Amino acid sequence: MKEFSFFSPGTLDEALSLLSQHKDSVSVIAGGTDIVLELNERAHTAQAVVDISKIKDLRYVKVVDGVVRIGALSTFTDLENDPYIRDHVKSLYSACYYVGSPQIRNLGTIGGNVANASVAGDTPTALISLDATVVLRSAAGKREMKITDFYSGAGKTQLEKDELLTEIYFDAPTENMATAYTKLGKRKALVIVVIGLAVLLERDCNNICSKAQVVIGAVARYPKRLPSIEHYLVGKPITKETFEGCRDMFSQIVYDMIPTRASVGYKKESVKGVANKTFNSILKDFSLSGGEE
Amino acid sequence: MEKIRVSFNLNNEDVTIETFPNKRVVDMLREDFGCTSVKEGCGEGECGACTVIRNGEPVTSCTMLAGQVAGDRIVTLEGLSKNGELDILQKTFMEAGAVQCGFCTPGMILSAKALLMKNPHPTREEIRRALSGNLCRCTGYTKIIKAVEMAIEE
Repeated sequence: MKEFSFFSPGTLDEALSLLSQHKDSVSVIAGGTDIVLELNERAHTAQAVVDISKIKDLRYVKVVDGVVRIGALSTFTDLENDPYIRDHVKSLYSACYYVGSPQIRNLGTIGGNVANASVAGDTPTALISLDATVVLRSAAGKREMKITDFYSGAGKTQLEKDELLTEIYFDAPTENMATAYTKLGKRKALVIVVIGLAVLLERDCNNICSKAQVVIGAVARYPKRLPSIEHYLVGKPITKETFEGCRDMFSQIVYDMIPTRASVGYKKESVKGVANKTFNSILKDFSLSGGEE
Repeated sequence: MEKIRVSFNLNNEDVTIETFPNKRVVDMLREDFGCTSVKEGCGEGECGACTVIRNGEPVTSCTMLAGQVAGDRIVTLEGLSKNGELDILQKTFMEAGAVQCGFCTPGMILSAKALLMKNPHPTREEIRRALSGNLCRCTGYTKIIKAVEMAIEE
């Protein structure tokens, strides 16, 4: 590992001031599960490393006035164990549940997962389907943007060197909504996602789909909303038949995204099973929630 | 490069060390504290051989910088035995024949220990999930799961 100076601020203000001092060459680590490896392999050569993992104020999940607010330093384990996330935000719960391994989930943070913008990140796909907003702070002030605007391409984000991603928030799903996330991988643990599919559906009192947010991850260079699927679902009854009616659309979408990639044959077929599993979870949640039959 | 001073609790003892900030926790534990039970396998947080218990939770020490454990409670395999008496998991791992080459064993036992500290009566599925971040290329896991179940019974 190259040489660097190490800082471990205890407060957000201290961290932001360190970032503005060292913004020319700085790496921020929280859990460290991605960045320490990059430092170790010398891919990163920052002169200063700021460890933000000791900032206790950035580790929370709270629901205030119908908005779910998640502190950037919440670990995957924190989110998996949070009763509200488990019971009301199943897509995010599942995305966290299947990250890496217990050890990685104890270290890795949702803020790091979003800010690091890996093509194979699990939580960004779920957060885009929740239409989440990210909060960025610097010594100069604060700005917010939709997570879809935050990503500007593979591995690239709007985050400036003197900024920290401090919070992610989204509207709390209502009783008329169900969410789901399915991760397809080669095995159960320590797996890089092959396809990630996150869905949020809302229904009206007649069980007609009134809102659909569908996101596919790990196929294109970054997670993408699927407007054609969303358009298909809205206005249709939420039934197995409706869902079956769009399975071939998923195949075509995947094919169009990566027509020349070697994995296209596998991914365009397996996405149908992924969609099936995701929609089954939605159906189950709606009947369990005691809504309209 | 300027050294940093890191204070933490290692195996129930408060310790302070001056070390280089670009040292990983796995290297600090092995080289500076002689805790050679902590193994480096993949060096990428995938295999779990370097697992230590940090504030009650298993973590991979190869993905952490030395300065990150300041103020933490760290337990390695060396911290499990008391006055020469082995921990129950160490005994059942031997009895069940859950050790072959032994390289994964310290991390495996610590992941199991962290599980039992939180959940003294886990189901088989819970054991499997708790050990899913520890790879073993010898045993096929059956005897490892059995060893944990034997420890629960005792």
